[in-house]
Amino acid sequence: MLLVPCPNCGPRNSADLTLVGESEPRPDPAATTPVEWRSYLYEEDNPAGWTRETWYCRLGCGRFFVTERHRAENRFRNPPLGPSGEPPGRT
Amino acid sequence: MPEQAEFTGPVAGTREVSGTGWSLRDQSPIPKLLVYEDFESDGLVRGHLGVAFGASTTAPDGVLVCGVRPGEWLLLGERSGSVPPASGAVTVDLTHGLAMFRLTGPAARHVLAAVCSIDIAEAMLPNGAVCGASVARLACTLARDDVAGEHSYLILSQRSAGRYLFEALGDAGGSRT
Repeated sequence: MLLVPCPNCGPRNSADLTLVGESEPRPDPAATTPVEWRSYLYEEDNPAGWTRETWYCRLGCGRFFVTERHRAENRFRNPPLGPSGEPPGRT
Repeated sequence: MPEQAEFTGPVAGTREVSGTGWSLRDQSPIPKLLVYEDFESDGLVRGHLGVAFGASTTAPDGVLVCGVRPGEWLLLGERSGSVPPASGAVTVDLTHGLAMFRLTGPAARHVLAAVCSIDIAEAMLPNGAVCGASVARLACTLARDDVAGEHSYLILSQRSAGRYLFEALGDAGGSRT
């Protein structure tokens, strides 16, 4: 079982969350070529190492957050952040 | 003058089942109000309700105020003074949209644990705690609300799945007795 560190709910079974994908800055639509836009939408680096990912806490707090995971070892590091990089959760 | 529609619960027939050390009651007719905090309200709503995410408290007017998500609260009961001022809050009446069951008794924790995705041990879900979790594979809101010192849980789900949830919880209890 993979325990995902939700910043609001604490460690939760990954079945309670949805992996949205790799987290990268959204390009400016006005200055982006179709190729770059397609790459942003559909392509992932998928490294066998650390990567920043966006998760959605589907059954818990219903919030998106960003965290770092080692894709080969399924380890998490650093406190998760909100979708814009700020500490998440308005309680 | 429009007629007031009579509330019809999600569970037909009997609305209470029980077993050894637990009872399950349909409390869906209790009014349920969802309150969102406007992003620009600067904490006014939370200040008025006085409840953080993951916690609950009983307001002076008897309404159970549950912090169901960051910036979202569920008000359970006939409300009067609990409703926050309109400024900064968005309210949605979910009385007819949610099913709500109360699972009570010394064995209630074991019945719920049989179908719940999270650890509901005393240390993780003490009295007054609120969380979202999977119950019988449904997305539900759980609120621990002990009655007279006895373990008691409020379980809320989409109304359309209410009958299934009621039967699943009853089956979970039945398999224990």
